[in-house]
Amino acid sequence: MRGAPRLGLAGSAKLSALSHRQRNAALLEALEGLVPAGATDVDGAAGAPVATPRAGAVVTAWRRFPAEPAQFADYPDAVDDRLRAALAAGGIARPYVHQAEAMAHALEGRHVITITPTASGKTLCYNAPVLSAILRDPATRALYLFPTKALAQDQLAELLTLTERLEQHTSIGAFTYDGDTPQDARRAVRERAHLVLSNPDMLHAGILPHHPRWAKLFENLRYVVIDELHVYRGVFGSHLANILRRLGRVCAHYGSAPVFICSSATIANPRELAERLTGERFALVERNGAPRGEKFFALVNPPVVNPQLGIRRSYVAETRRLAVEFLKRRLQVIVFAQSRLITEVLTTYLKRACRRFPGGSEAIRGYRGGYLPLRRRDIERGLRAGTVSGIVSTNALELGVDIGALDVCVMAGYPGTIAATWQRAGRAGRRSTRSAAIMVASSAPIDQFIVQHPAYFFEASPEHALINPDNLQILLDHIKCAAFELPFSPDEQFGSEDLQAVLGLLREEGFVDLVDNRWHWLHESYPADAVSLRSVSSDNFVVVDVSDETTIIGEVDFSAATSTLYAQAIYLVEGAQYQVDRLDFDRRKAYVRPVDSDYYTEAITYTKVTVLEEFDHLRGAGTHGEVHVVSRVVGFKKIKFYTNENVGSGELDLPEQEMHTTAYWLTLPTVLVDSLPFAGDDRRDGIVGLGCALRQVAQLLLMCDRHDLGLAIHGDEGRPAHPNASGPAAVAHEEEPTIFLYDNYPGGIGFSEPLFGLHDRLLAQTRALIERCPCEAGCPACVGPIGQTGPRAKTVALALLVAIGVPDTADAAA
Amino acid sequence: MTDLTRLRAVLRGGRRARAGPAAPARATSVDLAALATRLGGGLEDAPLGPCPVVRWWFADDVPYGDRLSRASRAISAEGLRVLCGGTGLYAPWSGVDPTVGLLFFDLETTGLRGGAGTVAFVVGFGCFEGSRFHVWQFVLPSFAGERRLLAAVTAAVARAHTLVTFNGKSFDLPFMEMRWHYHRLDSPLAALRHVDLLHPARRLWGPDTGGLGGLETRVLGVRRQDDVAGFEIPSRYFDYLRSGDPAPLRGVLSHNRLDLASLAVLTGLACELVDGGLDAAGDARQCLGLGRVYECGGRPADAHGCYERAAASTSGAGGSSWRPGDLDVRAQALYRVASARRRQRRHVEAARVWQELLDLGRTPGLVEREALRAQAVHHEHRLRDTGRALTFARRAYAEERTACRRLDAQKRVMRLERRLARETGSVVGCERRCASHRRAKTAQSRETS
Repeated sequence: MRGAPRLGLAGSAKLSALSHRQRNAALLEALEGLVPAGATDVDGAAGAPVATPRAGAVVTAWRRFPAEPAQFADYPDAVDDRLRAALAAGGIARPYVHQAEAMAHALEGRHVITITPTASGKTLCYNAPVLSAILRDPATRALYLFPTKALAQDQLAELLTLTERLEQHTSIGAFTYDGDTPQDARRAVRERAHLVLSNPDMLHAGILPHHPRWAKLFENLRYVVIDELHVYRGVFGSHLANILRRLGRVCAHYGSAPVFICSSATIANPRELAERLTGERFALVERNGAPRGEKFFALVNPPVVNPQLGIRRSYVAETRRLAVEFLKRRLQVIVFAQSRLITEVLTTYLKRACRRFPGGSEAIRGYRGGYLPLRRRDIERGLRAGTVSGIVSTNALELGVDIGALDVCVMAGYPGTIAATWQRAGRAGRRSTRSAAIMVASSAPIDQFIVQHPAYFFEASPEHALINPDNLQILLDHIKCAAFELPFSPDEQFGSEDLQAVLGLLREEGFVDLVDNRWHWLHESYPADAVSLRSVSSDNFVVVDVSDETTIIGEVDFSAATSTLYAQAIYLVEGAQYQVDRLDFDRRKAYVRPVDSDYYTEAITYTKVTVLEEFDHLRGAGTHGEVHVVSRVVGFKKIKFYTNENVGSGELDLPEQEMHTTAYWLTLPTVLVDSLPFAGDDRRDGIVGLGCALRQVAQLLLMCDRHDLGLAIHGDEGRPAHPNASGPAAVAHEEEPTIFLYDNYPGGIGFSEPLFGLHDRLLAQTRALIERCPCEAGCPACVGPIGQTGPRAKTVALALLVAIGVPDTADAAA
Repeated sequence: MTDLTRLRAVLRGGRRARAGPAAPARATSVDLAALATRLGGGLEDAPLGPCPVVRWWFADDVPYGDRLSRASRAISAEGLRVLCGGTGLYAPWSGVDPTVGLLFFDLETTGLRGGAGTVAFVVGFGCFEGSRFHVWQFVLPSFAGERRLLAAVTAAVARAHTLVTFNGKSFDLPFMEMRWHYHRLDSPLAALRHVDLLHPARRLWGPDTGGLGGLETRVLGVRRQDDVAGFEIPSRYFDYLRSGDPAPLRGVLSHNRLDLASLAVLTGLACELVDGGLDAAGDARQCLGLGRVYECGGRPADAHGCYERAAASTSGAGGSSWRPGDLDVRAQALYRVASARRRQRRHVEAARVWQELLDLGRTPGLVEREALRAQAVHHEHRLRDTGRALTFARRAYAEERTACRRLDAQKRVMRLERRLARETGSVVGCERRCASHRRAKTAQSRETS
């Protein structure tokens, strides 16, 4: 009984499953309420618009993707017969075309990357060549890397069913090796595992620095599998690229040269990403042979409720309305929200709305990082078993955690990239029944752009995944780790920087020295400990409920702690409300107790930027350089559920967070600002508004996550009259008003430099955005909503752009 | 050049540059003979070429002298067999002088966390030659000499059958194994029998000994002069590598040498205790510890004798011979006695001892929980005394610390309550208690979530 769900699910039995026919009918019925009549009957081409939306309708675009039959191929000759028999016994008599193609490449020793939508059988692409190789030579070893521990667990379960069927031929050991592996089991894993399922963090800190203990693995390493490759972009990808450089050195030491087998969701540059990450040439497999049920995709824009202020109905409320339409027809729904806070708010709303439905509010669950593993596993099981009918999640469920296939996906807000949108949409979609995905736009400009230009979304290529393995901070950290693992020779390369010069610097600092003509690690520390791969620190805060018996109810990343766990903050877990009594910053603990509150809280953060060095600057006042960023949570707002009214606030005194990074900034000459015919307050509002608009456009231009780019504004006097929650804020006296857009990662991750290169386009598109926005005096889609920026922010922002000579480019917004 | 400046800034995280240029790198090969001489040793031939070795014979007059010669006589085949966990029937020492082929082994390394970037730069061995103790230490002249050093170590252990270490099971042996694997060679140490004195020493001389140095002070009454602190050792080797001056290594060699000598002395003392039996134990605590050593060494009858003696000699609560800490020793001893009785299926006697243990009042949590569990089981299943069983089960439930144990305890309580209700027909009482347990259950599922 110990393994059975105990977390509030005890009472709810599995909802009686719908038949295929009922499911299809229920979905059509719900959709017909949304779209023009008859739209769902049309036999259009894949992805073609099936009907023209009515003007002012909520649905701005509508696509139908017909069902696709499976395309099968034969197993490549090199696939072992015993494996074929085992697969056939499991119901896979013939592989899909993409699987066969990927297997053939891998078996012939070519690095291969496969683009696979959700549920297309990607695991066979790597399991088949790996198991074939082990059957042929039992000394063969393989290393699997997954971005999370949960995914490794999922894959292990699948692998074990396959290796069990091969038991009669040879015993194949498959084990996970991660932070959860007990110390006493680790030796056994090192000795017995043919397949080691791990993650980049463990490879970095637990395996590579101890490579002699893994000599057997590295000597016989034939395959390295990297699943969910698209996750490794930005900081995480830059770290992984360096870890793979280190892996390459260690393999060379033991005389092996493994073949990489990678799989990725759809992105624009999968092959390039794989090649950048590994430094090898790749074969690309992108023809998908898996079958697919009919699928509908709709873009929804909440109706305008106040044309004067440009305010639309809340996208959160619209998401709730849509989700309920499906839930009440007993369809299984996944809702994706953009932040942990919105996830909790939506969970609360849906739980209340579904009280009267079968399964009741217990059948609605929330899911996000920070939930404890036991709770997460329980929710995943509930989804597969059908006891959970609605799930509200952050991007935590975007990856391939096994939750089965659901009927409908509703996205609250544009996920930020085309790739992530398709990935999330893929969570809904069974092989034999209809499914639907709906994206509800928020008032953010990027969302508004997408819903108003659906062709851009449906026809454009998805984003490029960018990495910068030669980010100095990241590179230096990994050079230290690499020197610890194996000494460098005086002619060795590692990344694009001059390795010998870097080593010379590390010698000045006493980390390495040239001994016996090799650069050896000469320090008592263990360098991998000092490096955390995810931009979040491993130093988490725990949330402790002290109301009854002291229990831990969640975890919060170090970087988010001051903005979510301050005293009096409302902390939400699956809709349950807790109030923070006390934050013990030094011990990394927040003490909370349950409350019943009609509001939630949002932190107010102030950020100060100091310029350290200018790399380059333009006459148009754009500059690229190095900065020091200090941010501090100074207070919070209380916001009422449903109405979003601001019902109070409080001040806070919390420690500062600092970082050293790169930035792009725009300086507005004081003379010019003063020459504008506006009052001081209005001028300040205009600068803040311009900053908001610039960040929105920069995000679109760079195709980056909104958390990748920080915004800070230095005004000419004091703080602005309307501080923006967790947004920009003006601080102290600076000689000239400046708008900073900085890489939100220590050392910089390479966004500010391209932004500097795009300076002209950035300003021109910002002008176009503000000029063409139909609102009267500012709205969330341009300079920020009235009430947050001042009444004349829009006018002043535009005047500023004109004053610094930004041309009125007709096609700038295209 | 700006790149380099930036790099420097990133590296230092904004700190000021160090004053003065760094010392130039030494890329030239080391003068092995000079190194060996300056350390007071010489170059010795090894399979892959000459290796600096420092040798030392402990004379009778130094502080360890007579202790070492006493140890050379005390070390016995049976003592070693028990100390190394009594594994297997075959002991290589039986029938011959057990000190022949017995090597004491200790490393000095460039880092305590281990990992590929750390090396052992002093590999020290000690052995008895008659009653004289002989220490020889291989010194790593620089990284390039490691293969040669490993070959020399392989040759050194070729005729040995047993290694004695202090904490070698977790540190020294895996560490050296890692170095052989680094060079893609097999470790010769894996084939040797191994006595790790760490656990027996903790059992015999107390848990808070503070490493070998602490033990030495407490047990032997020796306080080292000018000893090098452990944390200082890695940086001494780095200093030597940077400057070429081996002077900082002398202190490390002497530290290693003293560690080996006290390891040998303590091994002798431990053998004396094992061979002397429970009469040799100095006090109740040591008697209890000796029992543990016997138990792990495959002599359960002797272990049991020690436990009973330890329990008996601490029974005079409040008397003049009663010392602080005795209560703890008594609890542990009773716990061992009771566990042994239970294993022998002498349940009535076991229950008597468990009860004696619970009557002590203030006992360590772990022991008390085990006693409560045992008494609950005994009263439920063997005595069929539901009322008393429930009393024990409830106490156990209140004391349990882990979710798993709490769940088990809770099930027992609920089962016993149902049974009691059936037996007495008191339904009302049961319902009230059930409600209280539902509350407990909710609290618990929150705890485990």
